[in-house]
Amino acid sequence: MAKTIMTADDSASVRQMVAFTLKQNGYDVVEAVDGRDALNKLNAQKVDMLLTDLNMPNMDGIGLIKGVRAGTLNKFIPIVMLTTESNDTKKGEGKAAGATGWIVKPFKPEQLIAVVKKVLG
Amino acid sequence: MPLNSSVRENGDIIVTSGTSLTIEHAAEFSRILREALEASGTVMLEFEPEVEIDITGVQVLCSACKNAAESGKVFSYHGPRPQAMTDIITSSGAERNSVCKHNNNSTCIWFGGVN
Amino acid sequence: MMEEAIATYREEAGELLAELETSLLDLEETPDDNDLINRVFRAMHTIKGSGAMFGFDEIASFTHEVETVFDMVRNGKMTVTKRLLDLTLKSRDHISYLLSCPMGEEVDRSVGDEIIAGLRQLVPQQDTPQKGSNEVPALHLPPVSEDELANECTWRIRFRPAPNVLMCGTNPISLINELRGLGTAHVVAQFDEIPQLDALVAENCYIYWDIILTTTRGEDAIKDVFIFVEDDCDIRIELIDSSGLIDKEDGYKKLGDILVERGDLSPIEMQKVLMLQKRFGELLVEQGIVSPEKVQSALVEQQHVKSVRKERSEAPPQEAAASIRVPAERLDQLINLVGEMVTVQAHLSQVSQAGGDATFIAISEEVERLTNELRDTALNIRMLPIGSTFSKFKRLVRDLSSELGKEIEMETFGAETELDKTVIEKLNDPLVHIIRNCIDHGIEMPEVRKAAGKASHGTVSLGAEHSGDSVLVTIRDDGGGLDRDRIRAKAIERGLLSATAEVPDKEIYAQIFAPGFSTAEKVTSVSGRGVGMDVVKRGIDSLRGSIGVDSVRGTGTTITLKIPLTLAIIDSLLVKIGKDHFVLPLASVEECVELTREDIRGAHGRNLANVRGAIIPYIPLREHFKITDQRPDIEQIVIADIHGTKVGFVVDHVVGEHQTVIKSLGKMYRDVKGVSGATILGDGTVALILDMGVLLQSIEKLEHIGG
Repeated sequence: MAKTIMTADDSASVRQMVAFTLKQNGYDVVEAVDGRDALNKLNAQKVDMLLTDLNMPNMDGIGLIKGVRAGTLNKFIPIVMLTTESNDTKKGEGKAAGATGWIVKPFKPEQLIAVVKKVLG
Repeated sequence: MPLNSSVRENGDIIVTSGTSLTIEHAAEFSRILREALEASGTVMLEFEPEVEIDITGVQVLCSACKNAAESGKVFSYHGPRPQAMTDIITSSGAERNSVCKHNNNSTCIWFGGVN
Repeated sequence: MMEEAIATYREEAGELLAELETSLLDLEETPDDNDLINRVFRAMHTIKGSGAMFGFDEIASFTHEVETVFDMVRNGKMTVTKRLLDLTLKSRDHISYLLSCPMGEEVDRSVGDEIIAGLRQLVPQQDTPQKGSNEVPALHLPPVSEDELANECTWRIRFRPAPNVLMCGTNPISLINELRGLGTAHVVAQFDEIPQLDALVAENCYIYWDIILTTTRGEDAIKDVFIFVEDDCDIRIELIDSSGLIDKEDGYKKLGDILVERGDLSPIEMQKVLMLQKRFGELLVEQGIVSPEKVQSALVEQQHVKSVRKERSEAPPQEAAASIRVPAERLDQLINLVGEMVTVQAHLSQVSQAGGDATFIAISEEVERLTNELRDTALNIRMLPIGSTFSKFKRLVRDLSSELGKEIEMETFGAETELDKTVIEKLNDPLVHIIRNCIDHGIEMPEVRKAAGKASHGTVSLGAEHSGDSVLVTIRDDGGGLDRDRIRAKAIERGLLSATAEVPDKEIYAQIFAPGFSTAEKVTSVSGRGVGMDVVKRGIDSLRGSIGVDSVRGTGTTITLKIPLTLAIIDSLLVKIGKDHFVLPLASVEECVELTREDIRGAHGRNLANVRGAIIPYIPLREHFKITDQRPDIEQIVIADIHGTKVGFVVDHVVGEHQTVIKSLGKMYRDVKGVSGATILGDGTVALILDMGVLLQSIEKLEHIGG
């Protein structure tokens, strides 16, 4: 059965790129436009993994990670942060909040898939 | 049968695995076994054939086995070992063929040779 | 689909730029508004990050500069000034311009450079961005180890995850599976830290792992597996075995040593247990010093390394690591010495046979066997795949065809075919000439090809294959083919062929290798001057090879070079005429038959022999070399196959097979026809090596002139 991955990003272009890449590799994709939207959807639907941007309006990535880990339905899913190189502190913050891993922006589709495969096993 | 326990007339407790012995249910699985081993001298696990098991499931089984061994109780399972159990023993390197000091130096009934 | 995302990015960036403009104008009113400053920074940051992702590298690197400056403003290291806002607004316009440029096209950098220079002036001196900081940061590349070709190593890995890894979505089993993907792994999960139920936090990870991994990937590849968890997990990676190490013994460390190395057992405890003289592992467990799991895990390591070492010692030494570089001249020296050795050995055999001492003969035979083996091995060392020269020709075809306005593709096959290094080197010039000729004369212009109903691009194929003790190098083109009649006319004109003789096509085609021969009407920079193909002939002759030409008008030409595998030592037939020895390369020899006086009489003065019904011409070498002493009653004809023609060579005696170490003749003898070299026999006498092909030709020529 195809695994479902949520991509949470306020940038439509990044969402499109991520969604396209994932679908091409056989994953189902749920899109969320910001942290709030993502958390609402994750409280209603079981997914296998979350890819989240850190800079988002209406609840940022860190808030979203904390929210997911404090929830029930998707409490233990792998969460991969999309970070930028200048954000080492954010990376640590995200890890402390319960993120599984990260991918540094900008990334190429094959790098995204490599990280997804690594984390989903 | 969902993850649950029931008491037989002879006092043995039967714990049914449900379909998922994964991290989401690890705490409950652990609680059910702990209560069962407190209440009875013999606790038998019945696996659903299609059960999913992850590392936490393996840990709970091992932990419960240590409890039972220390208090001289029986903790074992009925029926065939499910596929998921065989799989995780192989993939995690959990196979045990020697005796276990936590199991009163008996061989391990849970993670014994896969083959 | 990806184009869609790029279009969305353009749109998004447009919106961000509009927002940026508003924020900058607002900032002019309230320069201290942190919220506005953050907004500017975030807009730049997003434009940069996504820009790099969708290939707008120019935007990414430019925006990075502006973002860096605003990062300083954000951190209070700089203040918002009119000049800064001016420059940032200009930056906005420049990004907008870059966004409108079609992707992949050269953009005007001057404006951007000016802005960046201006911005840098604003930066306080001590905070001037370091050189190189304007580079777009390197992409986070997937783990690729730089020492992919390194030795095979065995690593002991102890992976003790942080208690909360499972809760954070990490599955240790996937990490272990990743390790398995790097090579051969044995995995033992350790359960001793799992508490009883009352103390168990069910979502915590208590299990830790001992992994023994044999891999050619380096330590970095192993570390990369743990990249997301290395900060909060205890990961120990130790090298315990390497194929680069010279194994002290076939086995591996003792169980106790492994446990001590792992820190699971103290040396003192080990000594104590060793005193008891029982099976070590059992004792450790019995005495409760080490848990059975740990002993089992150490035993797994012992077993793993033992089997890896066993495999290694059994495996054929063909890995990259098993090769060494040696200067070519040392190999040449070795071949020379082996050559001397073969000669001395031949002498030894002769002397031992003559002496008749059984022990001596046995020793001599043993030396012969070893010498043969040594010879084969030494010759093999110099063998190289011919493919290395092939790649050079690809370039030649590419350059020449574009120079001539032709469309030509090159195909190769058999690149792995091995030939002696010297042979490969000497093949280079002939191949260059042949391929040039194919390109210039063979392949037609695209329009000519189209008119002839062929694909507009021509193909030159270059290949090599083994054939007995030779290698066939084939150069084939699908061009216009050779003009048989024109070559014939030209050859007659030049007196190379007689006008009346019926000559097979192959022979006519062979004329293209005559010195100065060219049918081309115009001389091009590539060929046509009539120099070249005779170079091929000479080159191939010097390799003791032969050339075959086959051509079909309109469909193409195939030139086949038959080259001996090696130049140094050949198998040959030793013969005797009078007191002199001669050597014939065995590769062409088919059989030997007797020639009696009656036979000669029966042929009525013509040099023809009847061999089982077939009439075969022969060359009486005695006459050819003007050897005048007593002719024996019964002579021998050595029948050879030379490029498909059967011909006999009459000699006095056939001595037998001979290992011939080829010595070249000095420059003085360069013009001697029919002799390609010399060899030294066991007793020290010299035998000439006959060039059967040349002998045949010289006889044919005589006949032409005579006839």
